[in-house]
Amino acid sequence: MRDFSYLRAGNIEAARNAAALPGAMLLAGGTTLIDLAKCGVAEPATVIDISHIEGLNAIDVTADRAVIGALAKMSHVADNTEVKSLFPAVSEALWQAASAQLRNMATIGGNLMQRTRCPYFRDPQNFPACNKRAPASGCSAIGGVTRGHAVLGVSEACIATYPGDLAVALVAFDAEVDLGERKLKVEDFFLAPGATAEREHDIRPGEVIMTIEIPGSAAARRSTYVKVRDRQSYEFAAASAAVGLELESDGRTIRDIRVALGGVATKPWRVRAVEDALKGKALDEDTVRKASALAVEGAVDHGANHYKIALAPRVIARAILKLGETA
Amino acid sequence: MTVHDMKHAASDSARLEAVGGRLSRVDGPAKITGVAKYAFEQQLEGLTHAVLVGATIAAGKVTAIDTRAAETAPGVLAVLTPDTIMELKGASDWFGNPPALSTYCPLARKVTFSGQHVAAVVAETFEQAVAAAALVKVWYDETPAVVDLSDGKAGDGIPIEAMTKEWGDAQAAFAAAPVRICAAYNTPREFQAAMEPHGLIARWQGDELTIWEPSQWLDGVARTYAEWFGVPFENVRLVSPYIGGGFGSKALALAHSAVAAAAAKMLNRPVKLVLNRPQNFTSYGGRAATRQTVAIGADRDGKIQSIVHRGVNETAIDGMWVEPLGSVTSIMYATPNFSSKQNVVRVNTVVPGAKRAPGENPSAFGIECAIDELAYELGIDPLEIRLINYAEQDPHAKKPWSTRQLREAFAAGAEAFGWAKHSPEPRSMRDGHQLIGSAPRASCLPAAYRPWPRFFRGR
Ligand SMILES: Cc1cc2nc3c(=O)[nH]c(=O)nc-3n(C[C@H](O)[C@H](O)[C@H](O)COP(=O)(O)OP(=O)(O)OC[C@H]3O[C@@H](n4cnc5c(N)ncnc54)[C@H](O)[C@@H]3O)c2cc1C
Ligand code: SF4
Repeated sequence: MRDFSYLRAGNIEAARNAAALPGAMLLAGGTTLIDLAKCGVAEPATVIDISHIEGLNAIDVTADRAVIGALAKMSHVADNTEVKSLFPAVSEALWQAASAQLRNMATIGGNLMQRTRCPYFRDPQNFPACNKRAPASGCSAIGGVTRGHAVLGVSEACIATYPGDLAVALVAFDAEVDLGERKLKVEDFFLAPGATAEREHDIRPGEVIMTIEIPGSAAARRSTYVKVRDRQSYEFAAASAAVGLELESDGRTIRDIRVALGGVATKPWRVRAVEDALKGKALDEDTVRKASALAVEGAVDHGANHYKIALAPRVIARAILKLGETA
Repeated sequence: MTVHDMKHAASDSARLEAVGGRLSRVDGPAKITGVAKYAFEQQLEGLTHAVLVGATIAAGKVTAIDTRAAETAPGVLAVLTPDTIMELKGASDWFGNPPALSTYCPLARKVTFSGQHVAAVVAETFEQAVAAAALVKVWYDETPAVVDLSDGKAGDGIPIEAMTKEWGDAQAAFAAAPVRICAAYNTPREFQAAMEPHGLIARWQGDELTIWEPSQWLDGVARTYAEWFGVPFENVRLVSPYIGGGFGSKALALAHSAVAAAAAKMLNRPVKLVLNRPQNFTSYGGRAATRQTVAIGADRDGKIQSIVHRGVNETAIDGMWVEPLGSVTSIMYATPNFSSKQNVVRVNTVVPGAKRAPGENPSAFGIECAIDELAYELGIDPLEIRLINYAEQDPHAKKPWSTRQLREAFAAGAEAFGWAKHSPEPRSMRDGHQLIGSAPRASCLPAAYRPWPRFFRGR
């Protein structure tokens, strides 16, 4: 039997101290951690329940910025009136994630820390080789069933897709994650696998996510999240795009545009090449499709996930064109 | 046990309401509010917990099982392997045919699919059983597996003569037809995936066995237990208070059921065994994967002259399942010439089983898509072509239908759907940015089945 100790942190200091212990893991909503413990991937020595810490679930939104506490529930953030009007892509990304029950349990901090859905990663008994789980053990996915695996940001060590939705919207709008002592761009908080697939986040022992801050912008106000998946709900993205758009006063020239991809890369994937190609251009379908194609330059497939290379630019184009139609 | 009466059958007015009205299920409120106590949620004194160990290869032999670590793990009462589990007797099949073998071992020495049960651990608590099951080490002699229907090693399979249905000269008529289409239709393995997993509690009192298990066929399942253990049918009490989804899968006593009942007998304690979610995909079969080709020959005015249908479904290495792929094909449209034949192909999978309209479902998919292909080829409206080929009588038996109101149903459906606005050209219809398509579809569930008993009373 795998025994572990359970510790309920009363405040953030206690949580930080306990989180520095070897084998310690934080527990927020539990929707990721408990799953991973059941399938033998997470084997915490100590589980530190942070869900009772007060004041960490605030949602504070102004036109300037949104500050979202790590313990805020996905459903609360998705349903927040200001988030909906000032950061629609954030709300839409959350609405299209997981299921109603999960969104009611799951927290924003836990959401950033969710792990890949690579089936080999989650089946240690049948597939011992997984660099993300056991460094230098190999990768069972390469040469295996790869329909859901990434085509961008992959390495020889790991091709696992970053599965989340919210973080895709966050990187599109330059959000930051506050770890108490440090503040990081969400884009830098997530790490591509490279040779160290086991490191997914730039977070150190004893650090706890406090808040997420999203700067307000015209592009964030006119934004959307388009998620294409095998079924209409309760499914991870085959490809998704968070897009924000700001037009000049002529109503057709693009002043600012933000584009990030989900479901196709090893981390939430900002695609500045598409943004740069569109800034200053007139918004028309042809221009948008040509620019969107730049998103997958350098993409590498492993057979069954080849379709993602065709799909990703189309999802971006769909999102941009959809925004163009809204006033 | 709970017996649910059809309350609404009582009066004519209630019956009218039942048709087309919104009817809440008798057991709905209990299930939705969590009050329903499912079969294996019973609290029994001295209850023990069994957890299965599944094969990690798809084909081969178990050469050794090391149970020492599991046996000495906390709370463990027994580790069962093919060598240590009690011997059961063979049981008759679904149709009551006597067993081919006189003995039965629900744990496999010869592995024919991944996930097949090879061992089981019984412990005082569920957690102890899970932990100990992970300590059971199994060695295999692995042999090549046939992964699925598309596997190069799968071959053409075994012809199932009983599925052949032919009249006229279908091949010649197809060859002579001025318009011909031929297309292939594949359907993947489909799983029942009920919310309530499979599982049971088994308790022996002397030679009387009580089983708490969700069941879509109480008598048949009880009969199997009686035969496995060589006790009279009357000695088996099967308690099935609710079905949390079955879709055809909960009509048989399965290998894991035998393991639990045997463990209970061996330990003389009640044993609970519930399949975990992954095991619910490998412990009993869903609908078999299928492959069909449908060739239709027709006149230029759309009248069908011939249908040539060939079907294949997957089955297990040592279990037979025929998914009747010609069941709808042969009955939907009037054709003077018809040929349908079917093979089954053995692959390394758990034997497929009944899932919601076995046969009719993939069969309708094939013929109904093919008829659209024909309509497109001819430039005839897909609804129109169905009416041109309307079967005024049973095309095979050449006997009149007792009732068939498909024509009326099509007319009402077309009206409700707004079929007149449909455009047949590919990529010609959009809903916002989304390309959409539409087509009429029909199917039938042959009523030629022998009467099937539906309601059982508890004892
Ligand atoms: C069936 C299913 C479907 C899903 N579908 C989607 C989907 O479509 N899209 C999507 O985006 N997500 C999806 N998810 C993932 C879901 O969003 C996450 O499980 C959830 O957000 C995790 O939050 P939690 O509070 O439950 O985290 P927990 O399970 O409590 O924690 C997860 C991890 O985060 C760490 N952690 C938690 N809080 C903090 C903190 N404040 N600081 C540092 N570390 C912390 C924990 O130590 C743990 O390692 C799905 C999950 C499931 C189970
Ligand atoms: S892709 Fe990454 S997570 Fe999946 S098996 Fe390979 S190393 Fe492990």
